[in-house]
Amino acid sequence: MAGRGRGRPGGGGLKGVTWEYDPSIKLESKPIELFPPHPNLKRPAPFTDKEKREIGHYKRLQSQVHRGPLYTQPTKRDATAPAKTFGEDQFNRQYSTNPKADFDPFTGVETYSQRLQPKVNEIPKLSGRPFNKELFPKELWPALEGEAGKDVRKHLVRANEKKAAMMAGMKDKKPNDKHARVLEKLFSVPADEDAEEADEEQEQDAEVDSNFDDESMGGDYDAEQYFDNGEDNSEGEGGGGDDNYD
Amino acid sequence: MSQSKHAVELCALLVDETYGELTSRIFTILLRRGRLTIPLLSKHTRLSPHKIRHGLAVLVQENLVYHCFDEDTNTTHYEANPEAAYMLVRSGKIVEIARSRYGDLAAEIVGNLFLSGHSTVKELVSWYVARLAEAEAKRKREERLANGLNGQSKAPALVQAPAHPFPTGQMHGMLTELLESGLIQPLSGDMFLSPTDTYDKIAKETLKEEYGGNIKGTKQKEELKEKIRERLYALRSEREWKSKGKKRALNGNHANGVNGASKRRRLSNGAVNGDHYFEDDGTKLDPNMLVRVNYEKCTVVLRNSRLAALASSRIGSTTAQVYEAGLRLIEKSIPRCRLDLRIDDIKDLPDGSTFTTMELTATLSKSVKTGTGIGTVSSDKIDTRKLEKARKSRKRSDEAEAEGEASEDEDVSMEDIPIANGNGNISEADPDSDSHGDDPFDDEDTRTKSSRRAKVTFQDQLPKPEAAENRENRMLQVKNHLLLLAGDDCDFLRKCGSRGLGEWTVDFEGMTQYLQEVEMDTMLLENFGKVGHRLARMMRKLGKLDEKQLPNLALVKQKDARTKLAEMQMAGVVDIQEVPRDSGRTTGRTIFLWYFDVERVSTILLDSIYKNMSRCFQRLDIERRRVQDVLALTERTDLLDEQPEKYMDQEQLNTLHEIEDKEESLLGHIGRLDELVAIFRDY
Repeated sequence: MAGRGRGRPGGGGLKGVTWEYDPSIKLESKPIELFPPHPNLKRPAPFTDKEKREIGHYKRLQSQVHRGPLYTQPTKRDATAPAKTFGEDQFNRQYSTNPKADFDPFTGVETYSQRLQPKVNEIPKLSGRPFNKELFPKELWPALEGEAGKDVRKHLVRANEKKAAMMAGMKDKKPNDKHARVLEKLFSVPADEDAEEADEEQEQDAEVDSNFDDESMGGDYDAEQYFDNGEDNSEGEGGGGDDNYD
Repeated sequence: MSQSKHAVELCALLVDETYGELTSRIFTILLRRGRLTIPLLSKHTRLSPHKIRHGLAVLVQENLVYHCFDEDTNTTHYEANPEAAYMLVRSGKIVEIARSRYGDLAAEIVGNLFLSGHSTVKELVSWYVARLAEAEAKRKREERLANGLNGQSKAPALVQAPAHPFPTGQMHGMLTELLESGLIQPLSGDMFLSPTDTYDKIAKETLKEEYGGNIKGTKQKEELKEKIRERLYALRSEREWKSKGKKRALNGNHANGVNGASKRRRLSNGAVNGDHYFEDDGTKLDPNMLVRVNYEKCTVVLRNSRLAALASSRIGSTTAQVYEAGLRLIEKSIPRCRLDLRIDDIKDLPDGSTFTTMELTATLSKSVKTGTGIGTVSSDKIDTRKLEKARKSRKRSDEAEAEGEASEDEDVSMEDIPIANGNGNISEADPDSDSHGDDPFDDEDTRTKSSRRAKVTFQDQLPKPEAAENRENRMLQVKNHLLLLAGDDCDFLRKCGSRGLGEWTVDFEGMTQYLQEVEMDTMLLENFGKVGHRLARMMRKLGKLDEKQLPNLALVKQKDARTKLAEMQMAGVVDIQEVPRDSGRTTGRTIFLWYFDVERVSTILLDSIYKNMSRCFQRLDIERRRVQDVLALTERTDLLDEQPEKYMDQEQLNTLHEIEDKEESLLGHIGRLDELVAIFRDY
């Protein structure tokens, strides 16, 4: 290392090269080609009939799946971004997490000419087809039943109960008492936050994700929620979406 | 599958390509992280549990994940099934197999199973009935339309096949046939347990039941292992489709019986055009039975067609047809290509399944002209014109027969096969048969008749149906083809007995090895030139070689050899081992041994193929995005079933054709790469 570092006065290390001016020399100033021609490129043999049929079958199957209810459309925002990703964070960031936040005001608004475009599935539609439930783990069953499953019913029942309780409370208690009760509830929430978190989150997502189709469990149009007394949203305000896992 | 980076990437892309983004994101994380629960999945993918549940439901439905419920912790773990994901790329091939063998209906069934992952017999039948009704309605509509235009155009309507009177029976028959062949398999709930989980479960049970919880010593350990293996084996054979007794009597045996004959005719002729009539043989499947595509069996079928293609390129198309028929005979008893060490007993394997010449002749399709494809003399002695004369004369054929008998009596001495080798028959016999049509047939006839007179013992063994002469003649020809196959350098067949005019078996491992070697050689030749190819082959044959010996053996200059070897070492194809001759480890007193590790090279090769396939899919995606506006036009809901010519202008049509060509070439390339993957991994 030490001996080599000093440049000799004669030349840059190459044999027979001097520092003298050479008028005939030409500088290669062109940038190198990004995709130089392949040195050993051969044209593949033409496809046989069998291969063509296989390709045809494959394409047909693909398009059938894509038209079916189980396919979910890509939401990747930038197709030209490098395909290589390092780590999960970067991988996950490629995809849109919240369709409302990533709404494109120029193309996102549906126009009349788009009425014939195929519908975009955010999540697969599971309600339209029969499933053999015993093959699925139990925790997936609600998803198979569509959102009109147990959770929704539970939610409705709970809302009704609350409504009844509130109405009963309105009758014999003063508004001050009600205020105190809400405050009490607010303070008691963090204790059982973990238990309710999953439930909570799901409800919240159902409202955001399913875009008010028939599977949705009510969302904005659920009149019952106006009688919820705001209790269910107390965490939603603090949560601010699903980006705060860590 | 090895969980290399490129394999993971490819699987993720395949799932993305087929089932969309949500499933693919979940699947990728499962592949990368191993088994996970829903909360963990949600943490890693940043998707809501609600979405994850939906995605997982799709993945389970399509058999892409295993799941396992842990009772102790009350959680469900999900695990990716990379094999199934990879098989998505082969879906086109599998549908094509079903179509070429059992007709369009079978292809549709298999296609439908690919769409739905798995479904019950009931669903399949109702789907088919609905589809038939739809087609019928459409036909009527068109008929009415045609009649409205011009009153007497009844003809096109009549040409179309009328709807089957008993679609349910037809469907059940077809499904039974597919189940018999093994292309589809019944599905049970425990198949969603991953192989490792199944093993653990069985191991735990066995340990508890047989040994009361703990074992001592290596002997008991071995015993336990054996018992687990037996149980797993039993479990697997329990899952397999077993045909009912009645069914087997009806058309299980193809070789004889009225029903068998009709079936054979159907397979050979009807299957090609697809509108054949199905007899409703009264077989009814349990309507609640679940079925799905059996990938393992499909691989076996693909391997057979690959071997037939090899035979076709090495020997000739007729021989390949005979070979394919033979392979199909033993296909029934081969459920999978590679044995699972944990399940199959590798110690006392039988000699593989065999077929006899007689069986083969009986099942061979009539459309295969066995008389063609083989020259009758050693080709280097006589030119074609002389050959023609000689074959016509009695003397010539007698001579040939005499030689033929000799070879038949001996067991497998392949040196004196009376038939020309591959090169000979391609150059001489084929043009002959092409130009003269039936001529070679006549030749063969006279030839073999005389042989019958000469051989009395031979005649006695045969059953004598009405077309006995023709059949014997055919059998001899088939036998010649089989001898040719056995005599080839690749050892397509091995003779293992003399029952039924010769009993044959196939050594699949040897064949696969041969295929692998051929592909590897091609790769080496392309990448490292003649010298590199030669060096690698030498090392493969001779083992580890000293650096000093190599140039002498390979007949290249030492400098060239060294450069080449260094280049190959960089690519990971060859490697070096140092053996010092003294403790000083000086370079001068060290032996450098070069070696070529076949297994390692095939792993590297496989990985680069995965990478190549991923790149193809990515390129496909980019190309599609470039012409998104045109493609979106074809996807419009009102134009789905219309011809693009009707609504596109010229420029758009050109773009569409361009992208279709690109798609085809990329997908075709992927299909060919998949063939390589199959050779190195699956066969």
